[in-house]
Amino acid sequence: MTGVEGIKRIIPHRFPVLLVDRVSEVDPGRTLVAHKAISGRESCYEGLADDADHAYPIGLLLESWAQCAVLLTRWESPNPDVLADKVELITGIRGVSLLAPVYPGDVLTHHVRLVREVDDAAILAGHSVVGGRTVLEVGTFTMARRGVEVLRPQRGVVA
Amino acid sequence: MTAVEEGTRVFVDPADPVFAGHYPGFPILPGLFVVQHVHEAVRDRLPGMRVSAVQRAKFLSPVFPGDSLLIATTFADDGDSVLVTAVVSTGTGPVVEVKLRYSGSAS
Repeated sequence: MTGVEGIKRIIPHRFPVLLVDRVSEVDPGRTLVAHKAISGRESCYEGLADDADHAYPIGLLLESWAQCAVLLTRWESPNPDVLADKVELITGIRGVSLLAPVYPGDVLTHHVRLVREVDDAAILAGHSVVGGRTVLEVGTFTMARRGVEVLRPQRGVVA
Repeated sequence: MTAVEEGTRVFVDPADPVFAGHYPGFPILPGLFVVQHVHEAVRDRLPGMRVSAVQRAKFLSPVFPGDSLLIATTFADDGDSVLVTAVVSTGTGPVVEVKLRYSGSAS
């Protein structure tokens, strides 16, 4: 069982966008299971109208799953600091089904499977479950690692 | 079949707390937050529907604090659902292409 302290030793994401609470199972290079509890205290709910939809934003739901993908690919080669290593970037997703909205009080269980990894790129797939119900399916998730020096925005370019 | 081309602008505020954590020392907007911006730009035009799929998304270039995003969308009726195709650009060109599917709300 790996909590937030252990997760911070493996991936570079930090508050307020570290969206994984606990890793419960890992088979390095193959699969990982991790959990994230959704809270009504998260900043996405700040100022939200009382009668607004309180479903957890899809961007945060998907980012939480994606951080589990980074955890699996970095389990045996941790990257807690992008300046000392490389930046973890999403390059594509395909076949993502959003089967049911999730709400504060729900605990997401993310399942991630490594499909293929080559040099600084990886392909993963998986799904997420709340209380036995599948809420998210991720057909294909592709990611890449790039050094900060090749990513810095070009300064002085006329906008 | 309907096709509407519109543009929505979103300023990526450097003061957004997200940048403290993604990533410390090298702030970039999580690519999936761009997908969220697209969703927020179109959802009010699809009342009674919920986003049911991200059919595909391509992330071409990182989004930096201070960037201005232009979200151009196309809507296509597809039976019971609507397929939204979006191209998100900054001053340097396209950064994200995404296809979102919206379906009738079935709670």
